[in-house]
Amino acid sequence: MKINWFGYRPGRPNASQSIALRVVLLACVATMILPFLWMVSTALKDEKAFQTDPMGWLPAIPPYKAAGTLSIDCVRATNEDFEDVLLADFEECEAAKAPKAVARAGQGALALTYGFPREGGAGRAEAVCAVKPSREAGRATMISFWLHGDGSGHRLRVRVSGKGFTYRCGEPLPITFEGWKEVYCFLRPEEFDPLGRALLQLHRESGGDDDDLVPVAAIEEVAFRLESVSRAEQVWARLTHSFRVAWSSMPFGRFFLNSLFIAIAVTIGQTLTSSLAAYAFARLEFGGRDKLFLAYLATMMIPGTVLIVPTFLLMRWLDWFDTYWALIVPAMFSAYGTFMLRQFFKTLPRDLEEAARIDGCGKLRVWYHVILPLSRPALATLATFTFLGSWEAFQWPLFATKSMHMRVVQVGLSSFQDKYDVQYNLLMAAALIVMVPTLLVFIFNQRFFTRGIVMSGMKE
Amino acid sequence: MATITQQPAVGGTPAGLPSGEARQRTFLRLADLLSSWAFLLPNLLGVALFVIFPVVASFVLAFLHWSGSRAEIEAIRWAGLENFRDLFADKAFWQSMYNTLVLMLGIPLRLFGCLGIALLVNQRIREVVLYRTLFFLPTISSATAIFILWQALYNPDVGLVNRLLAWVMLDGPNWLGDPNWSKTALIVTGVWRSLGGMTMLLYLAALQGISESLYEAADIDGASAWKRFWHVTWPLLSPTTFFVLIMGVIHGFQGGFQQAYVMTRGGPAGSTMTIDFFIYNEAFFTSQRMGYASAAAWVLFAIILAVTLIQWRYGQKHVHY
Repeated sequence: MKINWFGYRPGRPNASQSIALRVVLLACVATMILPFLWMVSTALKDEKAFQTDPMGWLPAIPPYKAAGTLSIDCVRATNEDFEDVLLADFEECEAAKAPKAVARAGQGALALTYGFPREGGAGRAEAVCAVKPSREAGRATMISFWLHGDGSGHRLRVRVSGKGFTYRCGEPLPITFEGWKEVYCFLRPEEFDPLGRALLQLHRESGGDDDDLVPVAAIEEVAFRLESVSRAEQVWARLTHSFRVAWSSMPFGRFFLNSLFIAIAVTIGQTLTSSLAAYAFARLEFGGRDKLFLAYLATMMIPGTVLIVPTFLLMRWLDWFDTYWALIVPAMFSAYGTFMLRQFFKTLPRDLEEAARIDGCGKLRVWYHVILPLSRPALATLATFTFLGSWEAFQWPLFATKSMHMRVVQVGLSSFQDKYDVQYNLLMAAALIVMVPTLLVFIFNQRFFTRGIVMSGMKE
Repeated sequence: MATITQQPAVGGTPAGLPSGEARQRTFLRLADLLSSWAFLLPNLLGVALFVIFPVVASFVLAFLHWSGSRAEIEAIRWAGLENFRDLFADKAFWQSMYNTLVLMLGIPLRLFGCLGIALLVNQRIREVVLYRTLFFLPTISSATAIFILWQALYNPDVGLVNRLLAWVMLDGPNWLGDPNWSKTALIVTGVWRSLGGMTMLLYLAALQGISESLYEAADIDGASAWKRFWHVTWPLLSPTTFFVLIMGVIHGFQGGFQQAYVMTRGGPAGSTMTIDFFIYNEAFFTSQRMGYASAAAWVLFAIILAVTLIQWRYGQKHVHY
């Protein structure tokens, strides 16, 4: 059965009726859309904008700043044993960590003063922290420092150099925050930072690769360079702030790849095994076929709640817990897919198939060259639904995995929620990151859904 | 494997001593049967391992005391009916049952809401496809993201819900923090999410399947719009309503975990702990009582089965096909 969007509708509204209808429809649409608008508006704010004005629909963006001063304090290196080593004489280093500390440019801290030409002009400002050599401090894995930001959106680059080596930034850090904040520069490649800190990834440019660590004592200077941005870049940096923090604080890329890989594998597996079995149930003759099919139908009645505990134990017994196997294999076999395809195969005309058989095609070739091409709409519907189901799966991946790198998108998002309880700007940004790609895919494949839903509803 | 090769052999061999030709025919039939089963085998093995085996195992587990750990395999004890007895004495189980039933009040709300939306987008308005897509949006968005969104919307200080209520001079409660309101909050979110979704589409398809001539006949009889709806549309929609109700009840009994987990973690004070949450809690979170959890799962299955059968018999009498 097909939905006929432009087909008969009872009654033809006159002008006043159709206005009334539109008012009602728009009111309904508003309740559907308003939460999404709030979501986007919240995600566009940074922490400060959210704290000061959680109600505002539009994030406040400060005016363009061409001149100002940043303070840098407590530049230090972290060694392999997670011990911090101060790289120069910073007085009152602890004071900078206090949340109420004010900007103390010049008071022992390093000042990075800039005066760029007005908007758009390229400009640079530099401050260099000359390092006092420290002995026997191990090897450096990370450089960190306190930075007093001014929310100007200009971009900070950090360079760490010494005898025979230089580390440079991969991507600069936009100064979208105000007040003191700790910035961490990884000297070793890190995918993400679970603490959601301001991050810089430094790459070793000369004298070895990223995996060779240099001794802390060999670091001679840490240079900070501020690059000017245009107004547009500044606005963009402000608006994407929450997204950047969310993205860098959890391995969302890995989550997406996991979900994608699992969904593709499950979809291929399920379509394949279901269409093979459905062909056997629909066309091949063997004893007990219909009884077996009835048994298949009966298995569809069993609630997943009953299955989940023993399947979990089975996974542990097979040593599949926390592996892709646990997420893919149990989902690959579906009685529902077999049932749906069998119903569809039954409706196909037999003539083509018989002609192929007479021409000497074996069953496998008939299945592949006749049945499958004729069933494209049904296969597409099943594949879309399987993909969606796998992508949306939540309970099973939650129970069957425990390590961060095995998490799928849905579960990853919920662990993100554990960390940023009421940081709604970050939560909304993360939720949007998860939501938008799939939303686009599904909007463009809408007809498969509507068809599939109507098909599954009319299976009686 | 053994049964598979034996079965055709028994059926395929004629009683008498076969001639060469007959033997070849037997061989061909055998090969035919084997290849038929080969089509079935991957799916069959999978279903056997991941559906049939778990069902049997779950049933056995329901009568055992076991933490599920391999190290404690020696410690498995036969429980008899103890798991079930403990379950019926367990306050948390009854509370979760009550919670689930209350949350299922969302089913009729959803049903009428979806029917309303379907009637609206069934009207002859040019931009109706746009509305349909917008209504569809919450359904196709990731459930976790939607639940996180609503958790934020319900925040008593900064959330949108209380802000809108304040706008009409109402003082909104702490939705997710107050045991008296948490279930309402979950129901509202659930209804909102499914308003433009599958149920609406089913109703829409059913509405468009109603023959025009019936409405014309009603018009000739001078029926008002309301009578036309009540005497033509509603009875003709009854198969869809029936299907939606049955599916809604089945899902209602065994669903709700994800929403409760993401939005409230079952709280406050266990007020949103559904049955399936209770089962997973027993199996994976608080305790590792696999037998106890299995027993609860079977009780749940029995309830679903009974309720569905009752609905089915009622439906036979009241649904117009």
